[in-house]
Amino acid sequence: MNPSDYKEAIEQITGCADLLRAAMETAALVTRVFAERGHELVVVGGSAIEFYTEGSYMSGDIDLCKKRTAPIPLREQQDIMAQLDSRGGPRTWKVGPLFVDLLGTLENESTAPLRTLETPRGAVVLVPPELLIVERVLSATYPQQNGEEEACAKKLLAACLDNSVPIDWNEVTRLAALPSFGVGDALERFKGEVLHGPR
Amino acid sequence: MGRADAPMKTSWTWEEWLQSRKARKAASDRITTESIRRAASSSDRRLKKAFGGQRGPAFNRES
Repeated sequence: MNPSDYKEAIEQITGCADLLRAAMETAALVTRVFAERGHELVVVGGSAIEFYTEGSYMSGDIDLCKKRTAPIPLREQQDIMAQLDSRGGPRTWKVGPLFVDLLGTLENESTAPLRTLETPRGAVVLVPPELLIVERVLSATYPQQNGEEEACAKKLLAACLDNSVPIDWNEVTRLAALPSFGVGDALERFKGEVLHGPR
Repeated sequence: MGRADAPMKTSWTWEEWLQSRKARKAASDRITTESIRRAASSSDRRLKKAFGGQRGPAFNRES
């Protein structure tokens, strides 16, 4: 894509009223311009949860992490994001209608594969739902109960239990039992409540 | 998004994604149909300034 192609794509995304669709297309453009410089990005956080759940969870920003640990100099990040006529930086930009945050290196304790969406603007790579589930169960239950996070965890579980999102349940169970999460009991309780209602 | 006896699906075309959105929304709505967007976060200042006091635009699903 040349600079005018990117500008046209951003204008089209700005005219898109569907938030998740706009977010996925924006993430694809950002992924693309970084990939052209050899940097792989992964969508994390609320927009990844929204992709898996359609749960009306995400806000107006898209969180991305670097897949590799190699640093990307801030000046290079600015150069890359300038191709999308972005504003701000060096870690948060406004791109079209949405904000884009580049958070750092992906912390992924899961062995589950990253997921991929091929959009008309290029590919988007997403953090696996196996990891998102245990992260949300943790934030829903520790250090105190959090109703917002519990609803989010249950929406993820509902989409996965319904097989609307294929998932490796053995991996979810393994992650939940790790000392870094320690949410095995809460996971099973949430799954039961999603399947059968609260006790 | 896939059958239980098939290899786990890990990538989607745009068309597959658009067609599967309603099923995920229906599953999600069994928990609540209300927005579960966080009430607050560290990004609130810029978000609320950009989105008329909200933390993001309306969802407005097209499919």
